[in-house]
Amino acid sequence: MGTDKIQNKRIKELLLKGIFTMCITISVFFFLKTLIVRQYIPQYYKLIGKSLEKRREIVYKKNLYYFLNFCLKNLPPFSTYRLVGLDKETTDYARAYYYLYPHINTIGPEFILMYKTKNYSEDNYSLWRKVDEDNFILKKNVLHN
Amino acid sequence: MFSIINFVFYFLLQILTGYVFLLSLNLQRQLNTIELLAISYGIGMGITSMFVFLFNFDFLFSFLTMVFLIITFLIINRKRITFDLRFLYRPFSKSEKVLSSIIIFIVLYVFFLAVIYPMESRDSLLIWGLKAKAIYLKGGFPFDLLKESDPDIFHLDYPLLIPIQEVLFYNFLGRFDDALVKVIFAVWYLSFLIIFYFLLRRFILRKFALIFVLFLASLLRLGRFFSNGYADSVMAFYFSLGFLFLYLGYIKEKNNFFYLSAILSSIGGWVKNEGIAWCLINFMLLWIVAFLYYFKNEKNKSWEVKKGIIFYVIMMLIFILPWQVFRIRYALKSDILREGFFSLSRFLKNIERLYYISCVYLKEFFNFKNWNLVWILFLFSFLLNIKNVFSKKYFLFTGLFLGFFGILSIIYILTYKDLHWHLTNSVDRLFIHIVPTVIFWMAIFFEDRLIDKIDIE
Repeated sequence: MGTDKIQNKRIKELLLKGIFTMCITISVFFFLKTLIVRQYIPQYYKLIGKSLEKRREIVYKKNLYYFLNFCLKNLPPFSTYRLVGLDKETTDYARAYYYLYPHINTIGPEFILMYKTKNYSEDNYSLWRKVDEDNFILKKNVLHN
Repeated sequence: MFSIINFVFYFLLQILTGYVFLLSLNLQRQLNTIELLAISYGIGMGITSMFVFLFNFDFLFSFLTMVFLIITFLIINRKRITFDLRFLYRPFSKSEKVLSSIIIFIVLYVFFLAVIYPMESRDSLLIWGLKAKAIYLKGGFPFDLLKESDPDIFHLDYPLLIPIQEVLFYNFLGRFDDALVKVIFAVWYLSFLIIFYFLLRRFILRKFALIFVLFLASLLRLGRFFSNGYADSVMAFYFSLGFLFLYLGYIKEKNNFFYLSAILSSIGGWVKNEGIAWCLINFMLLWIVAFLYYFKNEKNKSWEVKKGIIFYVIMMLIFILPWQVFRIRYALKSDILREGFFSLSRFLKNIERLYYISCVYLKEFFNFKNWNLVWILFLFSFLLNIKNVFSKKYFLFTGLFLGFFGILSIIYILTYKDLHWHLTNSVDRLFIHIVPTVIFWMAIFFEDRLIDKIDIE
């Protein structure tokens, strides 16, 4: 009876240790994969010590960040816009919307923000400001009587 | 320098607010100091944000009122303020030191991720961060977002605990810093692990409690969500702890914990809309406990539980009702729970979706990157323990799991959205709400079946 109990205890201990080891191995594997394979360590190194806006530029990526700042600088206060060139389901769209607030994306806006979009035109809108051929702002034409 | 002092003041305000609540219910006697501080933070975050909301986003007036009330209360009750650090007296063994070190490393990593990145994930930006930015700039609810061509993306019907806390933080800091603000989530994470540990310690030995805390902390998904400003991690905090304190109150027959369960569960309804459903699950479980005592003719215990039920109702009125009234008043509609959503005929028509939903759940259970072996171990252990699912030790957990997966599945069966899209965009986040309770269940099961009590005593 005593031997059975000891053996039982040993089996339970082995089982617990085995499960624990497997769990740790899985966690360490995915943790290292995230850091090394997905190159998070170089990104952390780039971010440390930088100002908030510099970190935002690194995370949002230069093109988008520069374009958003261009829009913020040139849009009149509280003006409305529509953003073309970013899918609404993407994180970049969310970042753009967040960064541009209090400007609002509406139907029939005063401005259309063209991001990485060539040769786009729309009735009633004409070129207002541009970064380059792919990134520019269209403004709604004001009707004069 | 001024920013640092204000930064500290922000957390002091939250902790003192929660502490005052715990003191008023005499709960400080049943919690050690560290646990008390951690729970105070969680409760304080709920109370202070509701204060601000009820005072119509007047941050200065809310702050002054809260400070006045806190100081008055603490002065009147100064003799009841005690500290309990007995848990530190027993030295840590070598293995306990190793486990603790790994947990501390993970916590520090989560803090690092929280502060190094500006707000950059979709939901943290559009649903929470944007509202916080708008409230900070406008000093009130951002009704201008209703002019958006597709306002559903903001979920304007969602409660405001998180945006208001972010704004409170910005106000204390004196500037808009959407990287540093995420430290409030990291502190939630730290508090969660602390409370989880001490809850486990009431059932299992220190070494095993640390193992299960490490198991929880090692879930990359959970840590990531506590660092990127998502509400689901905060939801897990309130829902899990709301249930676990209910469980603790029932098993240890300490009825004060029902009050703690009530406030934590109700604050969950102030975090996200699904928090209302999860709060109701905990509330119904308490009713079941009340019925059990009633049928066993244990009148004293039955009365204590009834007090807990009354407290639940009061807490729900305080934390859930105000936002729902506001939401209905300004017609802030849910994109999921539309008119005619709950329809029996549509439910019966769509019941065949259950097969696909189950397959997605199963696929998520095998997502080792997100969940390690949690779900596999849980399913295996649950089946091993199937005879005991309605025993005193386990029936509350069983009720919780049935309630959680039941409600979740009903929502997916009835959803108007594309089912595949809805599932793939939400199920992994929603599983975060229940996973701490699943791990706690496993700790109870391991203590019950796998740990040799005689030897370890």
